[in-house]
Formats: sequence, structure tokens, C-alpha cells
Amino acid sequence: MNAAADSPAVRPRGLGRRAMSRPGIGRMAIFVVFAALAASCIYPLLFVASTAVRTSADYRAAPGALPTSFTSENFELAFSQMHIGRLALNSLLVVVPAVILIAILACAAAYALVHLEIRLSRVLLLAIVSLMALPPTVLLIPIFKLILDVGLLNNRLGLVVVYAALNLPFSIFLLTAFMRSVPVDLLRAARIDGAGAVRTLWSVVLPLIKPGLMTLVTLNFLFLWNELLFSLVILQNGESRTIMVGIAQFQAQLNQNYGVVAAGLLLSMIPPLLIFVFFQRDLARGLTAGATK
Amino acid sequence: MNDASEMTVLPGAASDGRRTGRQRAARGVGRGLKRWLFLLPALLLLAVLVVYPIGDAVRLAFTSWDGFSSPHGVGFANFEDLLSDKRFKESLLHNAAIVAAIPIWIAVPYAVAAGIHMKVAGWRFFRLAFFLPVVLSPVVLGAYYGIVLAEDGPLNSALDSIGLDALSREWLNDPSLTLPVVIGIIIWATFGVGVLIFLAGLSNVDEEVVQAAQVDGASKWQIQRHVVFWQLLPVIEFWTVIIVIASFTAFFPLIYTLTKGGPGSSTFTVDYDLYAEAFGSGRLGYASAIGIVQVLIILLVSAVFVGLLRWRRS
Repeated sequence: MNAAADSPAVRPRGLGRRAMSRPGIGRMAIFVVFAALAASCIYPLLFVASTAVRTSADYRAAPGALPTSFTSENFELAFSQMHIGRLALNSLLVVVPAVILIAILACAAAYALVHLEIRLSRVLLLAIVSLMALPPTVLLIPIFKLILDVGLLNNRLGLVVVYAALNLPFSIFLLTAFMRSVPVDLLRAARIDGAGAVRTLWSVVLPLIKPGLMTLVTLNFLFLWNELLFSLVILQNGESRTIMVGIAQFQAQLNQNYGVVAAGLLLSMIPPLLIFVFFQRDLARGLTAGATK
Repeated sequence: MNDASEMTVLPGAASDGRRTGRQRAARGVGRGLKRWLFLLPALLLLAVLVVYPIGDAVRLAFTSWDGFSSPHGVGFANFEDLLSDKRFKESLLHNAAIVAAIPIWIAVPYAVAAGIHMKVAGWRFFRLAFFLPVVLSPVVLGAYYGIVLAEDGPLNSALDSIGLDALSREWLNDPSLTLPVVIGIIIWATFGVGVLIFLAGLSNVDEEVVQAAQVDGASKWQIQRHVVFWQLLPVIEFWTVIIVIASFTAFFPLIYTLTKGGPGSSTFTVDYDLYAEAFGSGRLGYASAIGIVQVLIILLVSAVFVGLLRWRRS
């Protein structure tokens, strides 16, 4: 990067910064490093996919190479032994309600905090945002106790409300930024036309903050689909176990049968990869939301 | 901090909203308690499942609880036990090693973002590729690395086949090597987020100042060092706080799937120790005490890092 460090004074002002040959070498070096790094990021996908479709003998012969003999047995075993279909369904049964609950609560709360004149709204928002800095592990034991005490252990509803609560602070924070971009004149116009607060939120505000809502939904879905700790502790029985817990426990038990694990991994990666492909921009927007604050 | 406030999302609209909000209230729309109904469900959920548990975590830290009978108070016994707990101290030491790696954790995404910002050939593709590990669960990454780094796994067999068998190791079964491997994986798995955050920061850097520095004959390196760096400081602070928290809380799922804290206890971290004490040994009161200590340490380390960054500025 500092290839142009020498003789800066002789350089014509503002011109020809890239005309020299040495920055080209710097760029080449960056390119090579980036290419290696990118390979390490893409390889997991290729490796898991190729291991999932090959026989275990073929894998053992050359683990890192491309497959030469193909089989669908790994996927069959992933369904019959690992119960990957059941695990995925269990995850959806928790994640989808949680994401919907978060979206509704966060929308209403962010709307109230930004656009309905609520006393102490700034203090409240600050308090909510400061909860984001709380490490979830410190809440693990007391939340476990609470869920146990109210009899929601091994009940999906328990994990749904825990997930919703844990992700609300970030979600409210994210949505307030979008709420602020709604022109106040529009809200006033809606009011003059006789729309109440609910009506205004539904037909004026929500259409305007659709990108924010998309970001919220995709990000929360991704977080919760991938979550392990609270799911492990709250849904302990095999019947309702979620996909990441199932995979973590299965791969620990099943020594050496990499093909089946890989098939399970590949299937579990489908929702995150779909989000990656179709909602990448929404994710990026959400993950950088705090940085520009 | 001036830069920070300039980067806020539409600050003008925010203050505008407040002013007209008051007028609106005066006109009597969204009156009284009805407005609170929008906020109440969220506040209630947070109160019950986040705020109350914070208090309960403190209370439970002073109890002995096995998860079946009801917790009974033991005073400071848990904290005294922590002082002589070998595995906890070892976990703390491992977290210290992780904290020591934080400068790398900051520098890597910063440097990568700077490279992408320079629009190096293929930058769009790279930006996409670097983001891929971010969307995958640590469980998936743990399982993947468990296979790839196995003794007879692809990495070692690749090293063998290109004649570098001297480099092949028991990556996951060597007490001195496995922790660095785990730290490396976490940095690798999270740097994509950092790149996005730094890119957002870089696109907010005042181009005029950069151009002025160029006109004054500053080299690219000098511009990075003296102009861009200072403008990025709020973003660097933000990322630092995120990874300080992550360095104490993000390791659990990876360690649970990859090493189970092993070999021995060589990859135990505080968050994994907390889980192991609570749900492995059934000492939930004790685990709660670990949680309290963990929060205090996170606060302290965050303050030190942010203090360091601010002190360097003056």
C-alpha cells in the first residue's frame, strides 16, 4: 500500500496517482491474498457438497479431492438416522413464530418510540439499546430457571419467547433508524385524513420501511436458525430438538461417518444460503446499522 | 465524535420528528395510554425475559442450585471457589489469549476493507465471498473444521501430497496448537462482518480531506495513517466493542461442536466453562457466578480498549 511513499513531491498534483508501475505490484499482492482468503471461504461449501455425494471409501482414498464415485446413501441416512427433516421442521416451528413475533413487537415499539410522542422515549430507547451489549451467556441460567419455573421447558413456546426477547433490543434499534426516515409530513397528512395511529402505521409507515422490515426478518431468521446455546438448554428432549442442536450432537456421536454429517450440514445450510443469495443486501444493511451510529 | 454524529442516519429528520410530534400531540392524536399500547408488549417481554433475569443472575450467583431442588443461599462461597478453581482460571487465561488476538481481529477486516475500497480486481466477488462464512452457523463451521482438520482429514492429506508432511499436525488434539486454531477459525468466521462495517465507514470518509492531503503531497500510506484512520475511529471503536463481547461469548457453539473444550481443558473458555458447570456438572448457582464475573470482565476490557483508542487520538 505504501508503494508510492517515495518522491510524492515530484508527482503532478492530483494526477497520475496510479500511473506508476509499483502500485501495480501492490495490487497484485492484495489480489493474491484475497484470492486465497476467498478460497478458504468458499471451500467449506464445495467440500461439504462433495463429501455428501460420495461414498465413504471414495472419501477415505482422497478426502480433499473431487469425488469419483457418487451415492445418495448419505442423504438417505441423514433423513433416517439423523432425522434431518424432523430437525429442520422443529427449527422452523420455533424460528418462524419467533421472527414474526419480533417483527410485530419491534415495529410497534419503534413506531411508538419515534413517532408517537412518548415521555422519556429517548431514555427508553437508550435503555433498550444498552441491553444489546449484554452477553447472552449471563442470562442463560436465570432464563433457564424462569422457563423451568413456568413449566415451559421442552416446550417450543418457551424458546420462541426467549428468542423474541433476546433479539428485540437489536431489532428495535434497527427499526428506529428506518422509522426516523419516514417523512413526518406524510404522517401528519394521514392524521389530517382521519387515520388513527394503527391505521397510519399499517398503511403509511410500513410500506415506507419495507427495506428495514426485510432486513429485520432475514437477519433474525439467520441468527435464530443458526443459534445453539439457548435451544440446547430449553429444548432438551429429542422430540423437539432444533437442527443445530441435532447436528452438533449427531456429529459428536457418529465417528468417522463424514458423508452423513456432510449431507446433514449441506441440508442445514440451505436456508442460510438462500438468504445469502437473495437477501445479501438486506443482511449487509442490518449488520452495518450500528456502525454509522 | 463529531464525525460520528455526522454519520448518524438522517439526524435532521429525527429532531424534526420530535418537534412536530409535540404539535401532533397537542392536536390530540394518539392520545394518552393508547400510545403506550404500542410499546408495552415489547417492554413487557424485555422486562420478564431480560431485565428480571439480569437481577436473578446476580441473586443466583450467591446460591447453590442443582437445577432440581430450590436454590439456597451460600453467600460469597461461589466467588471464593472461583478463586481456587483451576479450570476457571485456565478458561480466563484462554480468554486473555483471545483478547490478545483482538488487534489482529481489528486489523484483518480493516486491511481487507481498505483493499476492497481500492477496488482491487474482482472486488465485488471478494466482498461476496468473504461474507459467506458469516451466514453459516458456528455449529456448521465447527462440524466442517472437525472433519477438515481431523488427523486423517483433507488438510493433512493435502499437505502430505504436496510434500509438506512435516507441516501436518494433530490440529485438534495438540494442547498448545488447538486454542490458536480455534481463535483463528473465529476470526476467519467473523471478519466478513468487520469488512462490511469498515467498508460502510470508508464510504463515509470525507473525500475532500483525502484529496486535500493528496494535493499537499501526502503518500497513500500517510493518508491512510493520518487522515482515514482518524475518520474511521468511531467505526473502529464500534467494531472493537463488538469483538470484545464476542471474544467472551461467541466461542461456545464452535467449541461445543469442535473440541468440547479439549484436548484436556486446553480450549475451555469462560462461556464454555459456564455451560459445562451448569449443564455438565449441575452447578447452576456457581455457573451464574461465572456469568457475573464474565460481565464485569467484559465491561473492564471494553473500557480499556476504547480508552486506548481514545487516548491514542489525543
